[in-house]
Amino acid sequence: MTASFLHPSIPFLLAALVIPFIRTDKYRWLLPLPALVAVGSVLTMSNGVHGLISYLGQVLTTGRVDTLSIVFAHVFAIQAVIGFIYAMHLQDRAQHVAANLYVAGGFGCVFAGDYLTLFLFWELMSIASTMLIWLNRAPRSTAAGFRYFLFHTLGGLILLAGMLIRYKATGSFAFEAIIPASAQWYDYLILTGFCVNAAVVPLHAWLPDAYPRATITGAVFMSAYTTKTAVYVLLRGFSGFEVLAIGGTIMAVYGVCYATIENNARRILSYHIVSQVGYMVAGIGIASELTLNGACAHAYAHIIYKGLLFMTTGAILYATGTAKLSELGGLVRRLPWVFVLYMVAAVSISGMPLFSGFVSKTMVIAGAAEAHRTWLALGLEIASIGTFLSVGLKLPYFAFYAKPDDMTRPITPIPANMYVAMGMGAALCFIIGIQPGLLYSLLPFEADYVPYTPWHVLQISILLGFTGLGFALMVPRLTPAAKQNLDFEFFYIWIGRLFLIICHYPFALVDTWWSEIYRRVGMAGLLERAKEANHFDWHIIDGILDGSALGVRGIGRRTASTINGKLQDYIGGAVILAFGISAVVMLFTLLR
Amino acid sequence: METSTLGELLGKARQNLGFWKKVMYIIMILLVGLNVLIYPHTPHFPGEGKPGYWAVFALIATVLMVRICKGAAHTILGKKEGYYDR
Repeated sequence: MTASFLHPSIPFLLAALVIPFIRTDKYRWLLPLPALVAVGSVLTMSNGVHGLISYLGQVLTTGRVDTLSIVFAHVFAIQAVIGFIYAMHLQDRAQHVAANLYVAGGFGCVFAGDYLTLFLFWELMSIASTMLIWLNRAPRSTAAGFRYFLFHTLGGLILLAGMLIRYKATGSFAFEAIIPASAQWYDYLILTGFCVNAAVVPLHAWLPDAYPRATITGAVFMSAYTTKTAVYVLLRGFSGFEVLAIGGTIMAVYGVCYATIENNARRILSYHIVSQVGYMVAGIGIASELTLNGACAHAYAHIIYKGLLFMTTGAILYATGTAKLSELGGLVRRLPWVFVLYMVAAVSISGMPLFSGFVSKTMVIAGAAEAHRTWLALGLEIASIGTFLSVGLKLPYFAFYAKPDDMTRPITPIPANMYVAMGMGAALCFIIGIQPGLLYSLLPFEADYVPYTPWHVLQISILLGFTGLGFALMVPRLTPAAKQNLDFEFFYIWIGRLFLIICHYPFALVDTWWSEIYRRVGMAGLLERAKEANHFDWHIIDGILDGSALGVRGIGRRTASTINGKLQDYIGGAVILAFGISAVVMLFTLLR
Repeated sequence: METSTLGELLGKARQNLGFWKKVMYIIMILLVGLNVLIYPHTPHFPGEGKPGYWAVFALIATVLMVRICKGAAHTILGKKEGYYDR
């Protein structure tokens, strides 16, 4: 480790280690501290390769710092500050530990210079985020957490297979850009692993399945890091892959279509992650300097406004106990500030001038059009319309208006720290919108782009205005139904069930045969032996053992009380233990 | 029941719905009017140079999106909550 580089994961790992052992609850005031250290670290680090570690006969690079990693680390650090302020009121230490480990994983991936380092942090993120779902402590969250974990494990294994085969072929774990024309099949395995985390359709269904079931604060963190880490690694390794250009545009449109029909506010926002990440993935696939810069800028803006969207809908959930639009409505007089802050995020994601989405999203669309990818650009325009329709109009209308003012519903007061965090997010959305130069100065590629031209402003204004007109015409049809909509998780679940059946049948068959053979052949002989043994046991052994048995019984009772037979608790315990061990190992290797 | 000035202000907005609708229509007419004067110098899409292109595009796209997606939800995609809990 050099003087100019403190790995931003370290403060978070330290916090995760320390939090369980602090006696007082006052530590919560210090929750944003690791994030602030990370901000300082990102602002002061110098470009170059840092944090080289010899491990397993390899030299791991934990600190590759360049303009691309800086732009992601920058927003990761800022969102971590906001996220931990938002979570400050929480007494559940396990959630704070999981969130710290998760953010540490995100930073680790961004600064990883080789596939091995990347993989380690990649898996840390996957485990910690599963915890953020499970810690919601509801049966459906548990089930969703298992599905999430299984799917990410599958994605992780595909990535692992790709990188190992790649190592065998090239002799190196170096994580560098792959030229599309010379990409081998194992590179496509790595790409698939990345696409799982980027929620590329049809590998996306884990996201709207799991995020709405995560804890309120957990979802705020998860909305920022998993998919954007994937965007970063795609930018780093796979720019120019045509499959991403098309896949990204499909994501953008697919996400808004589902958001139009969804009922749960957090599920609507989850589909909009798929859609917004679609812009970034498309930008990476088209790979002009403008679209690559656009992908970076949009990731930056997206993390801030999506965090704010999840914070404000989380505040609704916190206050009312539900995020289902069919059960909400008429809340504007009860939660006016939540409404205003939500709307700041909503117009940001919709790309309204003066707010952050406008200065980033239009870069990707303009880049696609300039690269003569007319159909892709048109798809992205349609996605813009759909975004404003469901996040900018439908969700706030049905949550805050729609029904007569609801003055009787019990509302849990929202803690001040949540308002502070939401206010910070909203301020950033506005600052980026009016001072795009601040964001553009961080971008890694050379491309001049001026967002505030008369035509850009007019075009998006017309687009949003007439989407509003369309909404006014169609609003009776848009009333959310208290239903859930099938997506690709339908296939995941059935493939899982099919797999179980396939495994189950042969085993059941063999088991039946064996029992039959045993009953006919083994039983008779055994009964004879048993008689003799019984005699011996009765007269000799019992006398000796009775004494010691009494002692053993005491121990047994105590052990029995710790073993409750719940498989889920055992797995949870094992994962936490593995977590702790890997966190310690990682910490020591990083510090060395 | 606690409310705030901001809450009252936002609550009142819906009582003046007619007024706000008129404001929106005037803004939209103005925007399309401006489109006659301001247009893209290098149109990327066929027809983009014509005033009102994006207005029509947005309106049609919104209506179609609602129709198609809601239709799909009513017919095949929409299931009872807890569909997978069985």
